[in-house]
Amino acid sequence: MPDPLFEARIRAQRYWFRDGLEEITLGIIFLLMGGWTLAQSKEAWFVPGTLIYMLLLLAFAIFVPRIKTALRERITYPRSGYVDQDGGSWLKGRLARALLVATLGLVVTGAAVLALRYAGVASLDLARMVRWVPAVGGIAVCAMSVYVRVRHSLVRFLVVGVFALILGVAASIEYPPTLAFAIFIVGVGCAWLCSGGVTLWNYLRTVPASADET
Amino acid sequence: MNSRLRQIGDLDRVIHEPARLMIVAMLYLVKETDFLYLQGQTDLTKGNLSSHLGKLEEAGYVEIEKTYRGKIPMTVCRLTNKGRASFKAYEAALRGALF
Repeated sequence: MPDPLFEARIRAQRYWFRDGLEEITLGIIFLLMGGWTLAQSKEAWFVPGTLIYMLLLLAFAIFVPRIKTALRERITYPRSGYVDQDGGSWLKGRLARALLVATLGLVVTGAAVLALRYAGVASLDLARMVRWVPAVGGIAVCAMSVYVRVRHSLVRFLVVGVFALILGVAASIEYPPTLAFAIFIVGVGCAWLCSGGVTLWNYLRTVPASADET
Repeated sequence: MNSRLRQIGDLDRVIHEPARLMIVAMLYLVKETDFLYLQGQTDLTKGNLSSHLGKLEEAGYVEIEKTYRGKIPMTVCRLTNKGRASFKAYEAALRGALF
C-alpha cells in the first residue's frame, strides 16, 4: 500500500515544476554556458568574452532565486498558492543529491574511460577524450531527467533527457570538440527553454489566478 | 480487548478529525504554506478550512500569519513544534494500533 504521506510530499515537491520556471532558469544557464564556450573558441575576444560570460553567469546565479521569487509572486502564488519546503531537510536533501550526482559523474566518467580503453576506440590521450565530453554530458542530463521522470512522473523531462542524449552523442561524432560542446550546451538550453515555455504557457492558460485572499 | 487496539482511544482528537488530519499532514511536509495551497490540496471550502485552522490554532498546533503579497492579503500557515510533535505521536500511535 503506498504511503499517503510520501505521496503528499512528492506532490508538494512537484509544485516547483508546475509553472516551468525551473526549466526556463536551467535553459538560460545552459545558453549562457554555451555562449561562454563559443567565446572560448574565438581567440580574438577570448579574454573579454570569457570575463563577460563569467560575470553574467555569476550575476545570474546570485540573482536567480530573487528573480524566481518575484516571478512566482506574480504568476504562481495567485494561481497555485504559496508553499515553502522545509529548509533544513531540503538542504540535507540537496547535499545528499549533490554527493549522489558527483559520485554518479565519477562512475560515468570512469566507465566511459574504461569502455573507450578496452574497446580500442581511443587511447587515453586527452584530445580524444575531450571529444566525448558532449556524449557524457548527454548521459548525465538524461540520467537526471530520468530521475525526475520517475520521482515526479513528469514525462517532459524524459523527452528533454532523450534529446540531450541523442544530441550529445551526435555532436561528439560529427563536430570538433569545442564546437560539439557548444552545440550540445546551446541545444540542451533551447530544449529546457522550450519545455519550460510550453509548461508556463499551458499553466497560465489552464490555471486561473485567484483575485481573492490567498 | 487487544491493548494495541485500545491505543486508538488515546488518539489526539484535535488531529483525528479527517479534515484537520489532512491539514496537519500537509503542513507537516512543508515549512509553511498559504491558504490557497491548502485549499487546493485538501479540497475544503474556504469557510470549512478557516474553521478547522482556527481550531488547530486554538490548540497551539498551527501558527497563522496574516501578511500581504503586493496588495492582496496572504494567510501563511505553519505547524508549531507542538503540532509537529503531536502529529508524529499521532502517526506512531495509529501505525502501532493498526499495523
